[in-house]
This record gives sequence, structure tokens and C-alpha cells, in this order.
Amino acid sequence: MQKTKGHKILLPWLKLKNWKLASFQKETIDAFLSGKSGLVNAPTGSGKTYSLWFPVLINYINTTKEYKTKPARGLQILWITPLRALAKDLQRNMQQACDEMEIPWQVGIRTGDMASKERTSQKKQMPQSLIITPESLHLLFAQKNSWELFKNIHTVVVDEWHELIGSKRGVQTELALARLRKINPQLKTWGISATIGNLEQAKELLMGVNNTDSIIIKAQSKKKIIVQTILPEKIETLPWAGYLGIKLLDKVVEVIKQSRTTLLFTNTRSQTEIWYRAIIEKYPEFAGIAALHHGSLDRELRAWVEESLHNEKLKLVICTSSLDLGVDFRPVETVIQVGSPKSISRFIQRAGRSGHQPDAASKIYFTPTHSLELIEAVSLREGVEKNILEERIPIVNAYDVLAQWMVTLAVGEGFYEADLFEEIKKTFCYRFIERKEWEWLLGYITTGSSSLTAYDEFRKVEIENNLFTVKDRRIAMRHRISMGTIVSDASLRVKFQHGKYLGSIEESFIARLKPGDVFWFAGMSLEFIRIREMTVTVRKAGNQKGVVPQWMGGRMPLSSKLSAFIRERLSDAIENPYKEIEIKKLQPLLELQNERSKIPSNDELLIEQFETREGHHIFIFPFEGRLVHEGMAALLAYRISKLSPITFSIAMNDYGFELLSDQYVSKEILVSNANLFTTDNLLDDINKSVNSTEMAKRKFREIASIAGLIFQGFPGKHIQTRQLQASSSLLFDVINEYEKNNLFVRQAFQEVLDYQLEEVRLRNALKRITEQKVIIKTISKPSPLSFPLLVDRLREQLTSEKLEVRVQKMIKAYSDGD
Amino acid sequence: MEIEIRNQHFKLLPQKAVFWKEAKTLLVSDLHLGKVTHFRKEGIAIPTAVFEDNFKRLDELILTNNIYRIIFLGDLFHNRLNSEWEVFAKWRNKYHSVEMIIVLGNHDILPLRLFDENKIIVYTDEFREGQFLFAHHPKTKFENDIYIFCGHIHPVFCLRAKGRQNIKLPCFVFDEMQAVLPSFGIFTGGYEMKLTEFRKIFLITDREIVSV
Repeated sequence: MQKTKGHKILLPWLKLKNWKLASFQKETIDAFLSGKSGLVNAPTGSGKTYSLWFPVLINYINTTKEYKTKPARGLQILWITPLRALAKDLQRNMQQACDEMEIPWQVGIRTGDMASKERTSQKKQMPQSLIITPESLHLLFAQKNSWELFKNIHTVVVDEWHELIGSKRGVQTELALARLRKINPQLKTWGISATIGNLEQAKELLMGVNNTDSIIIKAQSKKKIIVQTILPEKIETLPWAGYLGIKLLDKVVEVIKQSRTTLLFTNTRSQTEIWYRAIIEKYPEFAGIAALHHGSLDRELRAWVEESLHNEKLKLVICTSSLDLGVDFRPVETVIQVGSPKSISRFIQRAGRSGHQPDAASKIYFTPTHSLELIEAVSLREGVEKNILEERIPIVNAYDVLAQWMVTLAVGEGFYEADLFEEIKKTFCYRFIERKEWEWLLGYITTGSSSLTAYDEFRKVEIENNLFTVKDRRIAMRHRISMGTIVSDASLRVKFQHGKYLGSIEESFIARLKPGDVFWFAGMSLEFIRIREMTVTVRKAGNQKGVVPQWMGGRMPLSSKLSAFIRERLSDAIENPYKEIEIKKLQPLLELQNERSKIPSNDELLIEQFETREGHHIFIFPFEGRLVHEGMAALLAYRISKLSPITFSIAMNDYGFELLSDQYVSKEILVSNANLFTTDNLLDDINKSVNSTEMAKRKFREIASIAGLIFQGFPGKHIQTRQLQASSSLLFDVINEYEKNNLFVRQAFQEVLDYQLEEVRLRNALKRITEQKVIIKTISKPSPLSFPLLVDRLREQLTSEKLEVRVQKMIKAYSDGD
Repeated sequence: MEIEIRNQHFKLLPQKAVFWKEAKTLLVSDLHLGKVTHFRKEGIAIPTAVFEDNFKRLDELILTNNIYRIIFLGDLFHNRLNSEWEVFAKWRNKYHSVEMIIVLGNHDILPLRLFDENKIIVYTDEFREGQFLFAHHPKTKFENDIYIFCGHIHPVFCLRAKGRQNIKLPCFVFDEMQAVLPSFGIFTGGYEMKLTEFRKIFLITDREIVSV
């Protein structure tokens, strides 16, 4: 390391603090000071923030003569973070370093929920360093003086970059970076990312195309991760999802009691509520020291939980992915994962939330929610040992985000189209955008049609001396407001009579409740009083039991990396039944599978045929995750029906899918996998087999809202929106029918292929299957693999209580004693 | 598809209108003209082809049926005045000889002189002829033998098929004492109707009327 003036300030300060620089921090400092850009790959809690904040300060000291008294004014550093919750912690640490080294810098925060007082003071004088979310950064570009504001920025740091990749907020970040580079071609760009499968690509995204001089610096993580499964005493040989987890409650609580602080991750928001209720009911001593944390809870509540976690006031926090990243929670000793985490990366990241003491191993307990997940436990452990990580696939050609950006700039200082086109082509997302698509977008924002010739009263962006600009103040205001609104299914705010907000809940759930009904939310049992203007008013309801709301989404499919491991482990279980404790536990189930059907080896595709009063069932087990199975099931149903008219109903889970019909399908048809599973005509057959229009319509909701076709109104304000609201499905219908070349409709269909049907993965899975040997078993009783699919179909028709009864009956009927 | 009520004959047309044969009268409800332009004025780019299609279908109707009169069952114009009214006025004057009547709906807030200027007879509440009554809002109380034609609710019917495929289609709803017309406009949304014992529902597919 060099000994510059800056180093001479930093090193004694570090000594005072009794801190030692880790080698990745030294490396990053050197690279930064030599003028490079790059990506730092380091886990939470490793001092990743300082690895970049220190060189920023050193550089400042080195380049400023009287650094203690005469700091340059105005914004110089932007620190982009995906989470508002992170900002406060970051700011505290960064400001403290400045203050203690007598650097007269201000570190400010700019997020959606800052006080307007602070906003006004920032308007007068920007701090030297600003922590900001991608949305808020875009809002700054909608100001008239943005060039002036940004002209002295020399460094941008993007924190938790891996979280932004693959999301439209990541695209927003790419666009903002391209703009900042245009303002200052010497801009240094640094990212901080957890380990993902495609780090090199992550760097490329951050730097934009045509970049050469940037590096990746990896923190050598010696941290060991120990995976331990919480094993049930006895397993059900006919498993079904959901029955097991809560039965392991006592064992889970035993683990919780042993450690100071525990994070318990579940896969859905409903599950957090269910677990919280179960624990409090059976172990009332947890009241007051256990808390809930999920995305539908009010921000204030969540902030309180995070704060209390930090201050060691809580023994247990039950959470969803809402705590996957964020503040570093030093007190956390133990992490428990309930149910499959669906991806190895996510599992490792969650494990990393514990064991922050030096040399402490991170320990993660895996709690299966049904017996088949024991195979996943083994697969996860293997994935962790081999450090196999999923990739984050970046988004390309998001026309909606681009349209929004164009209007944002027009609301701000305006833009010249040729310059902007060149600029956005430097981002990874839009590097292949075509000129004619760009022209369509220009038409869309100026004339509301595919051409630039105006012929009616459409008004949005105007062209004045070639400058694209927004003049109408109302249009500008509406754009600023709608930029920030988060797209979600119509969700209602839940509040107490006296006004305290608890969080938000989906309309479809509330629609089923009558006043007086009791439901369970935010860890409390609440009585529903009334609903008015998107607000649900509730009061506390004694100790009555209530229903737990279901939130949409959150059902992640199994990642392809993890599913590959599962296929291998299952195959291996035939030869090595006693190698792993989980597999050993699973023996009765595996034996039953072998007895009634077969355990497929890695080069086999298992198909089971089964007849019940319901009809003829075909179960197929590719182990590829539910989304791929959904597409594959529809595809197969279509291809079989081409041979002779037949209709199927479909069910699927992460392991396989079911086709049910009143007609029998012969073995000869199923065994010809070369025909049924071929990738020839795939796209065409997909479009004929699934209701892709209906799926695209659902995707269109978000797109239309980002692109400015839906105006969601002024949140919390009673300003008349004068009937500017139209449902996204109506918009989709009319645009799809009357404007064939509409890019947003095209994008909706593409998003269906990419994210809904996972077309690439589906294609790969089909290719693999055509090389596999097809094993067809006719079974007289459902096998352990097919049973959960039988149950899953019922799940949609029955309430959970009735389902429980039904399933117990089925298990009895299909047990061996029968 | 033809329906007989009180010895009169009503033809259901796939353009989302009803033709009363004996009176040579066309019934049209809920055009919501001006809505597309209203959105466009505020910078929301609904394709203009959407409102142009309204006039295309109106032309078709007039040219293929022997029409003497049109009764608009309210919600002719969506909101405040905009350029779509001029398109409408031009269209109206193309068919000078056709009598036009409007029963005002809740959306019709345009100054009444605009109707006068274009020779459209205005009834603020309802219009009665023989055993028939024409109104915008559906009624809940009925007089002996008076049959009502109305609009307002934009009826649609949801066809459910296996595999969770369902299609919503605009429809005509015929009850014992009243009929509800589908909304003629395209950019208008819909309210899902249920089939009941004395109700007949007629779906409008692309070029056909199908009884449920």
C-alpha cells in the first residue's frame, strides 16, 4: 500500500478503532486510487462499504489542499442502494468516518420516505455524498437543473448490485449510469455484489458496453457454512406439501432457545404469520421477544423490527426474503429455513446472515415442509459445499422503462433524440435496440402514435427546436408522481381505528371477509370493521382464531441448478441409501416409491399412469420447477390432443406434473418421447397450447404502469384524477386489437416467454428428456412422488381445514393396510 | 338473432346494437365517445383506431339496415367536450335524413345546445313509445306491459372452459320486463352478468350472436 497524505490520515484512525484492513479492502483501495472502476464481491458484514468509502476519502484528502476547512461544495459521490432500509445504516457509518477524520463532508440520504425539510435543504445545498435509491435518482433527473446538479460527480457506487440485476430497477440504474457518464466521461463506477453465478456479466452490466479497464475484486471468504436438517421423528410415506413444517415446531423452538438471536425464513408472507401464531400460542414466553418481518407490513413496523434486531432486543424474527439483504445483523447467531429455499444462492445468502463473530461458522437449519424436501436438504448441502451459484439473468429491451426514462428526461432538461439514442445504446439492456423501435417510442411520447406527425390533441412530450421537452406542468407532475408508485396487485392499507397503519393486504383476500370477521395479520388477530377508499379499518380481536391472508406471488420455482442436484441425489439414493442421514430417514418413502413404481435414475424419465374415479392420471417427473412444468404440461396436452381429440386438466409442482383426462392415453404414445418432447415447432406449439394472451395481459399491468399508460392516482391525496383510470386488461384488449405494432404489448408477450414459461429452460429440459429413457409404470395406488400432485389439485378447491380431512382420508385409503 | 316482444320484432346485431324492425329504429347504448381523446389529451396514448372503429360500425349498421331513426340510450359522450364531438357531428350530418333521439345518461354532461345544433332530440329521463320505454338506467319497478330497453351497466358474460381458460364477451341481456344493451363503445370495460331463471343472454362474438 502507498503512503499518501490520505493514507496517513486513515491508518492512524483505523489503529485507534482497532480495525485491520482485509486484503480485499486493501486491493480495492489501491485499484480505486489508480483510477480504475470495478466490482467488489464481498458478503454482508465484511466491511464492503468501507472498502470503497475509504479510498473515496483518501482521494479527497489527496486532492484537496486544505481538506479540513475548504471542502468542494456540491454532489461528488452517489451511493445507489436498492433498499431504503439500508440507507440509514450506511449514512451513519459513512458520516461517522468523515467526522472522526475531521473531513467536513455531509453524507445525505435521498429516498422516497425522507422528510420534506431535508429535501428543501438539499435543494439549497446538496451534500458531498448522497445515498439514493434508483427511483429517487431518476426523480432527480426530472429536475430542470440536473446537469448542473450532477456535473461534479466523479464516483458512483452501486451497493447490493446483484439484487438489482434482473429487475427493472436494475435497468433504471443502467440508464442513470449511462447518463452520468455522458455528463462526466471520467466517471468511476464501482459495484458491490454478493456472489452470483455470473459475476463477470454483472460487472459488464454496471460498466456499460465498450468498457475495458475494470476489475473484479473478491473477498476471500473463509466462512464455513454448516447445513443441518431438522429431522422429523417419523416421515409420512405419502407426503403432501405443508403438513410437516409446523409439526416440527417443538424441535425448531429447541434450536431457537439455544441461541441468542434467530432469524427464521419462510417462503411466503402467509407462512410467517402462521409460524408466528403457532409459536406464540404454544410458547407464550416468546411474546414481546419475537417479531414478524415481511414485505406487506408497514415500513415503520419493519424499521422497528430491524432496529430491535440490531439492538439485541429480539430473540426471534420470522421473516421472508424481506430480510435477505440489508442491515448487517451482528447479533444473529442462528438461521432457520422453513421449506425449500428454491435456490442455492438464496440459501447461502440466508446462511450468511448468521455468525458474524470472527471465525464463527454460519449455521443454517433446514426445516422440511414435506418429506420429499429431505432430498432437497441433501442437494442444498452439496450445492453449498461445491459453491454452486445461480445466475441473475439481466433484463434486455425493457421498452416500458425506456419510455419512462425518455419522459423523465423531457420533464427535466429535455433531450436531443440522436444523442440520447447513442447514449442508451451503451447500456447492456438496450445495446441491440433497433432504430425503428426507438422511433416508435419517440412517436409514442410525442404524438401518441407510431409516427412523429401529430394529428389530434394528444399531448405529452413536445419537440421544440429538436429538443424533446414537457411543457405542461400537470403532465410533468403526473409523471413525477407515477414514477415512484410501486406496481402491485390492487392492495389495500390496513389500519387501526385510531389511525396506526399496519401494512397492506390484497383486495382479493379482503373481498371474502364480512365486517366482524377475524383474520390474522402482523402477528395479531384483527377484527374487520370496514373498507373505504382503499383502506381497511380493523380493531384488535381478543384471542379468536382467524384466517391468514394469502398474498399473491412469492412462489418461486426451483432453480435449474438445484433441480439438477435433486435428480442426481434421487438417483444416488438407489445406490447409497445410507450415505446421508436425510436419505436414510427417507428410506420408507423411497422403498414405497420403488415398490409401487420406480425411483428414476439420472438418465431416466419416470411416467406413472393411474386410474381413479376421477379419470386417467398421467404423472410425469422431469424435476424442473413448477413454471417449466406448467409450460411442459400444456405443451404435452396439446401435442397428445393433436393425435386424437382429448382434453386434460393439469396440476404441477416443483418435481413433476399431472395430466388428468376421462380418456386413456396409450403407452405407445407416451413412450415416443422423440415426438412428444421435441423442441421442433416449440414456440408455435406453446402459443397454441397456453393462453399466452391471458398471461401477457397480466404482465401488461406492470408494463403499462411503468410506460405511463395507467395513471394510478395521487397516493394519499384526494386530487381528482378525472377519470383517467382504465383497467390494464381493457387497455391491453384495445391496444392488442387496434395497434398491431405496439412495443409494450410485444414486450408483454416476450416477458411471458422469458419469465412465465421460462422458454430457454423449457427448451433445455425438453432436449435433456429426448435423450433420456422413458420408464412408464402403471400403478394401482399413488406413489410417494405422485401423491402430492393429487393433493395439490384439491388444494385449489378446498379450504385448509377441509383439505386436511380429505387428505387424511386419502392417506388411509392408499396406505398399504388398505 | 331475432326476438319478439309485445308482437314487435327486434334483431340483435353483432355490431352491438338492436334493430327494431317495425319502427325501423336502431337502438344504440353507451358509445362513450370522447373517452379515447380525453385520455390522449392527458398524454395517455390509446390508439385512435379505437374510436374510429365506432363510426365504422355505425356506418355499417346504417348501410345494411333500412334505418329511419336511431335512439341513443345514454352515455353518448364520455366527458367534457373534445375533438371527437366534431367527428361525431360530421358523421351525424352525413345521415341527415335519419331521425336521432337521445335519452341522457349519467355521462352526458355536454351543453344541450350541441344536440340541438345537430338535430338530435333530447329526452332527459326516458322516452316512451307504445308499449316500450327507453331509458339509460335499468329500472327496478315495472309497469304493466311496458317493456324497457336500457344500457348503463355494460353487460359482459364470462364463458368458462376447462384448463382455466375463460373469455369475457359483451352481451345482450333480456329479462321478463327489460332488456340491457351492451356498450357500443370499445374502450368501456364491462360488468359481469349472471344467468338467472327468466333471463336470456346473447353473446356477441366477432360476427355472430350466440345464445347462452
